[in-house]
Amino acid sequence: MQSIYYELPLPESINAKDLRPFIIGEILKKGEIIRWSIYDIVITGNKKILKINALVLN
Amino acid sequence: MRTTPTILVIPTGIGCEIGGFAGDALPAAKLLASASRCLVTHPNVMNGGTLSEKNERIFYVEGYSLDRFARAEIGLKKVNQQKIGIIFDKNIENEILLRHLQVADASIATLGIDIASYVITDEPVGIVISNELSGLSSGYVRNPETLIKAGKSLINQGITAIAIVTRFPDEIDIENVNLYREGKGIDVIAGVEAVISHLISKYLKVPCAHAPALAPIDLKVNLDPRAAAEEIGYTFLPSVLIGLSTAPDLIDLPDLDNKITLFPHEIESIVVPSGALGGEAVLACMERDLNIIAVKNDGVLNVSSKWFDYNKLFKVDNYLEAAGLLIAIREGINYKSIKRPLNSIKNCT
Repeated sequence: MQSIYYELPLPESINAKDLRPFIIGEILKKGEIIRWSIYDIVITGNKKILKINALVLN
Repeated sequence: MRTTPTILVIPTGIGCEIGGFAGDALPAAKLLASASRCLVTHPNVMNGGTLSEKNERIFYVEGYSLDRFARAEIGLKKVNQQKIGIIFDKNIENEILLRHLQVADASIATLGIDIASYVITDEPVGIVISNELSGLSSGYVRNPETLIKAGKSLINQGITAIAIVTRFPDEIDIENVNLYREGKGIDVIAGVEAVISHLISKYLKVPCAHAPALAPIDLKVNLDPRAAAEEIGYTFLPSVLIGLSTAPDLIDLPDLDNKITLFPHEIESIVVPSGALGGEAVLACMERDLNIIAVKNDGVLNVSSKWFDYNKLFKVDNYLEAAGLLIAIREGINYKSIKRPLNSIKNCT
């Protein structure tokens, strides 16, 4: 079991309804998902960055 | 009778003013259940250590399964009574184990709850509390396999719901624990508790909830009332057993046997702290075009409505206002009609 923290740049074209599948698709690359959430959102330059904590089994 | 089925989420371990302590969101949950006449919520909202209660209008669903329900993967089936089994961590000392077994016996004798058996894990579960992310409660377990194996053995004996009790390390950051007891900090163990119950939900697909086993701590004078429910007994197990005793069965969709009491498509709204919009249940509800009712309930997160372009998001100042909004939704009253100023309709040609 691994706790991972990472930053995910948000594509400009994405809307709120598509956000969850987008994030899940990224976390699944790291392992089987146990728990996750967005814990912060920041703007860097002109990019919106999602800060995500996920707990995965790999 | 009109209802407006609603989900209430107050994430664990993020220090919310209401719901960040020991079952201190239970009165708010009862209010919202009364307003909606049908509420789905999770153990962090309902469990107050020794204190909790049953409510005919509330579905008690662990967080991982609640997320699945929000994603419309499962439905909920009301039951008269669950047959509960308990997993105990091998690390629990005999005296603490005995206290928990007496809680189980008392729950059978005094509350009429069906607790059939218990199992002790083959190996220590290995709780690790982590503070990698300052201000948030998180962590993991070293040996998830032993937990899942113990749960499977209970299910093989006909158990339909699982309470889990794991031994938390004595080396917990006492400074932060005391801040929490004074109502100034976060519940440092809550994040790992969620991980444990998520594991059981994910792999065993039965109702479950977790209670930590802790060594007794010193009496505290300046105790915040919101944390008091965790100071009045030897264990935190009673509220878990009360919640699980009538927790709904989790039915995978599509439901071929027509057993479901509440389908996910019946849900109209989710109520959530305004800074905690980044959880899976909320995003799943956005995906499904449901009402998001964001309540001012300060915690350590600030994932707020300003980041989301979503037109069914309602901001309210407290749970009393959220209850009023749910009643308006339930009764088909345009909430704008009650607010001022009231604007004229627009010409869109």
